Amino acid sequence: MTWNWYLFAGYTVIWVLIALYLLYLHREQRRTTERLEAVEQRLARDLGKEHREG
Amino acid sequence: MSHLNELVVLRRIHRWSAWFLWASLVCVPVALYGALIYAPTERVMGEVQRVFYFHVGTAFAAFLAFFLVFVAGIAYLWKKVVFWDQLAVASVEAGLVFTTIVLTTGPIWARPVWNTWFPWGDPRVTTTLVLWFIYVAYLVLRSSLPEAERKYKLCAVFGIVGFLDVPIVWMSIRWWRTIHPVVITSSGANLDPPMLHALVAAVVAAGFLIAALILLRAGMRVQARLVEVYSYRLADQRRWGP
Repeated sequence: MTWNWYLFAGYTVIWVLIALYLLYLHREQRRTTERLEAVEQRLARDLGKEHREG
Repeated sequence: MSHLNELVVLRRIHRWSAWFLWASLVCVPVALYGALIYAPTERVMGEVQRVFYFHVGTAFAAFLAFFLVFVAGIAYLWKKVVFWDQLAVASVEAGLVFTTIVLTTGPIWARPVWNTWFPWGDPRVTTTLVLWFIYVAYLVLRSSLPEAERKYKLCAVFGIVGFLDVPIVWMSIRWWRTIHPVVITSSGANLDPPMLHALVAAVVAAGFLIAALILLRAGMRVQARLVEVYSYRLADQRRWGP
């Protein structure tokens, strides 16, 4: 195989687009995990309050 | 679907996405070796023809994703289970990424071979561009509607009708005059055996990769929905007591 700019550009585009989508998925996952942790904390706080009152 | 069922679904999605991710991690390097080293250099087009393997591989994978949108749409309308809607939208996103790859690698290959970046009017190019716009419209429609059953129904119908363009893309080079060559015919593939092996490897690798991406995204959507359900319950509990 010899060097070809078009071939290089073609394969670069493929992996850059997939990498960008993976980055987007990673950020979405982080956001969802943060929201999940916040709900869990709120839930734990409420349960603690109930326990103290009850 | 109860949240317990969603937890079971989530566990299954994570297991399958991990399996597909590992399969693609094995298959992608094999496919790259096949496309860049194993396959012989095409006599007329030269090295740039090696774009063909992943150009076609990602196109097949995008078709698979849009077929999943079609199946998930039917399943949602039949069973009214939100998971099918989440699978459909995850498939649309991944299918759009792969169609974008097809629409960008095509011009990169076309420029040195056909002496044009984008052969406007070519049926295969036009129908693929239409396919891309159909699923962009799906996402726009989705984001413009409030979370409700009506939204899921509309998107399911849109996904089913939108899939009609996929067979048109496939048949376009057989129905109309086009500069795209017919590589896969009813009697087999018009390719040398090593080229065919490289093509099959690229199709399999792209298939595993898109399956992993779809399941990862669907899992995230199921998780996000669980967070929403828990948040509503928590708010209700605070308002009305346990």
